[in-house]
Amino acid sequence: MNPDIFKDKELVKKTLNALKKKVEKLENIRLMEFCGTHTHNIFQYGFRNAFLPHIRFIAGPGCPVCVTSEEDLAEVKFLFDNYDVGIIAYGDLLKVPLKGKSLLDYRAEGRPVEVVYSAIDAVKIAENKKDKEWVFLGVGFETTTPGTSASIMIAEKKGIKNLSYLSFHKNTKAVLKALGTLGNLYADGVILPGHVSAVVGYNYFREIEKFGIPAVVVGFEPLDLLAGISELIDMILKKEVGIKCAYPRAVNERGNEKMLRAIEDTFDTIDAYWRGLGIIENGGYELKNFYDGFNARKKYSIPKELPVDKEKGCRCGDVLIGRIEPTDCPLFKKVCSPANPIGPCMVSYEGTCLAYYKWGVENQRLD
Amino acid sequence: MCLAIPMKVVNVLDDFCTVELNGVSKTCFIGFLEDKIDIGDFLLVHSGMAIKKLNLEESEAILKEISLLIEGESSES
Repeated sequence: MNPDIFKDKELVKKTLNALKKKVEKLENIRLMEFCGTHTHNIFQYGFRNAFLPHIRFIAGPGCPVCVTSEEDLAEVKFLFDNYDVGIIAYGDLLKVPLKGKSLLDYRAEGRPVEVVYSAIDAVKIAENKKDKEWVFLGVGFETTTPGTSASIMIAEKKGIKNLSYLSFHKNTKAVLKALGTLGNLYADGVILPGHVSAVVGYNYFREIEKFGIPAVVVGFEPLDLLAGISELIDMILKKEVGIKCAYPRAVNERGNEKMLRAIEDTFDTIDAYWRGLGIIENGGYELKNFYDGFNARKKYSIPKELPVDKEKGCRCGDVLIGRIEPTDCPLFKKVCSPANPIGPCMVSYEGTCLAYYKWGVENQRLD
Repeated sequence: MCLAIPMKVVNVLDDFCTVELNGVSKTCFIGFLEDKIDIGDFLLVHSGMAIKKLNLEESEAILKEISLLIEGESSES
């Protein structure tokens, strides 16, 4: 079988029409998609409007760059302002404002900023440019965290001394728990992130059962999304609570145990700032003491409480937990745009504000 | 950032392999995969690293449910 079947146009059209009929008697069912890639794909495939007013999709806090807090970004600025270091980052982070100035701006001023596709490439940069001290910015959930683990392990094995890691990695189980506990889960059902689940397994999210709502692990092709939405609607109608998986070709209950072990071997969970949610218990990953030599916070004595200027008027935090939609933000499409992003939700490829800007009603593809 | 792409394995060398999609090829780390990887397998590739070998047989139940949804709704109309 070829995985392309999940984007077969004819099959997608038939499934979409059938699902529209199935939900036509429902009203205002709120489904929260945790993952930013789901948000963009739901827009791109035209599903957001196709199911209105029966189903509303609410974007959750699943954009790693967006939830990277002002407190995290202040640490990057501290490094640049106080040390002659080079920064290695994923491209998604380049335009995020660090108190008005982005990594792209720093690079324009001649500061060394390298973009990588993989965390393992950071080791190659440090090996090839030995005259410079480098810091890799580890951003993301359990999908990217094992890549940072692999990079640290390889750097340690090779005896690399001019590379350290600043971990902003975030723990998805902790944030779902926080959303439910704080009463911030504004949804009738949750679309769980397919690729995080491929790593952690869907048992990882069992906590959600305590909040009395159903959740389904969903893939990213159009047919995956429709199958997942259909499953979730069935569960809501039957008042079922629990987790089901509509992406079994990639996800099982256990996840990838080698990757989970790699995370455990290199990181501890710590309380961490999430933009929009504040400090979340066990919401972040920090390098284990064994890897102190690779921990940029320790190598450069980064202070624990750095001064932070919150962007005035930016409602990114409320967008991230589904409390408001980007169109409710006073800055959206007025001051804040992809060319002049005020908050990270407009910067990141997975950001909800960028999705609304890019795939606004007039731009949605329904063919 | 959580985007992962299904790509086909065209070459394997120790902890790395070459994967391909629509004529574009990439090197990817497979050191964290639990399964043996062979040429022709499909991997879920994320940020230069394979996170899972796709088990396509597992899709059959989902495709059957989709067929039932289509049949059910068309028979009602």
